[in-house]
Amino acid sequence: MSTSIGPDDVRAIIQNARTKVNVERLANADNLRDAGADSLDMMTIVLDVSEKAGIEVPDEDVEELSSIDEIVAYISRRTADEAT
Amino acid sequence: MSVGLLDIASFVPPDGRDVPALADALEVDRDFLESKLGTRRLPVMDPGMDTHDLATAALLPLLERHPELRDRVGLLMVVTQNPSGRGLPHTAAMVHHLAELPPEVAAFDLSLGCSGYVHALAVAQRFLQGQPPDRRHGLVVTADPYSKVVDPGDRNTALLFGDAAAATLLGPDAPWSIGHASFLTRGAASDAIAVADGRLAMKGRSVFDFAMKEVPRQVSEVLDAEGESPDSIDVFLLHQGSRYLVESLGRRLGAPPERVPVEIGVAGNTVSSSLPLMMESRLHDQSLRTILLAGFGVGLSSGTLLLRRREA
Repeated sequence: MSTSIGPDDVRAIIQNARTKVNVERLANADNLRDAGADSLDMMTIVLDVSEKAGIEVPDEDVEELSSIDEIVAYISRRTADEAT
Repeated sequence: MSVGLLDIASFVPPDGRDVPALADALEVDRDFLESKLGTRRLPVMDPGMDTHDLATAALLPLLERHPELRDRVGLLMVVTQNPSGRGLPHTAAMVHHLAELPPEVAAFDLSLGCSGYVHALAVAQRFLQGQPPDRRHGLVVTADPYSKVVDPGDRNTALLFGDAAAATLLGPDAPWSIGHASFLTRGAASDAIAVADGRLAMKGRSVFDFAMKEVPRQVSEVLDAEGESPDSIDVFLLHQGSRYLVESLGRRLGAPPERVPVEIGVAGNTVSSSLPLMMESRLHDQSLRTILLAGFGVGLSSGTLLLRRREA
């Protein structure tokens, strides 16, 4: 069962991932890599997002998930696809 | 009397690669190296050695400590996926010869990677309990030198793996009993860690997701079966895949960081030897009553079991 998630959910996930990203100063459109998340941080963020949304994220889609806005939009699109 | 862990010896080659220098050459950030990978030195076996030599180097000190048991050994298992030669004959037969073990010993290889030690302990325990009383001691030797297959130019693997071997003696009346064990295989993801054209390739995200999702379930199953909780486990020995992997998994298990040691700095990711290397220094620690072992990797596969100190 997939579930949409919002920017605050993603922000909480980034916070819990213990990255170098300053979540307080992070804008929703900011690139997470540029903000300090490395490749392993991104693995945790994508895993936590996928578990919260109940969606598997294939490897080829991971590059799309580079900001809070993009993550929210991706999950929204995937949950809508699964609902139809 | 059930069979448990009696003693462990190990061999870590004295020569090795200096990881910071290697990281600089591969343009890997030093902070990432220290905070995420955690490796400092990667032992490499001598070019004149092969896997059976590495295994024997760990085994001989163990046999020297227990000369009275040599003629009571009924099993020699070598855990490796980088056997001597091309695996024919099996490495265990070559180790059997070098260690001058008696002919009544069943000697065979077990083909598993980072989950191999847990699988091997469970197999050995069950095998030995079916043996005659005078053949219920067994030897599990882990020796999987990834220096044979790691591409020194591959940033995903070149900074992680080290060569080492560990030899574990099992037998009756042991201080550590082997409790409930749980196993899992996802063969559909077997290409996540594989050797192709002689070189190791690893899909880091697949391995990470597998460990984070499956190992906590397996640990819960083992703890439930043993009537334990995360709070009652003295030490969680998790396969040392990387510092980040161990720390992330420890958080998912709800285990306090001080009970989830990170020792990858010692010899790197030594595949099936990482758990016995950590167990070796804790085997005689009388303050420890319960130790959880969790190995995961190639397969993809995982194995988890609980060791419990036998009451005197």
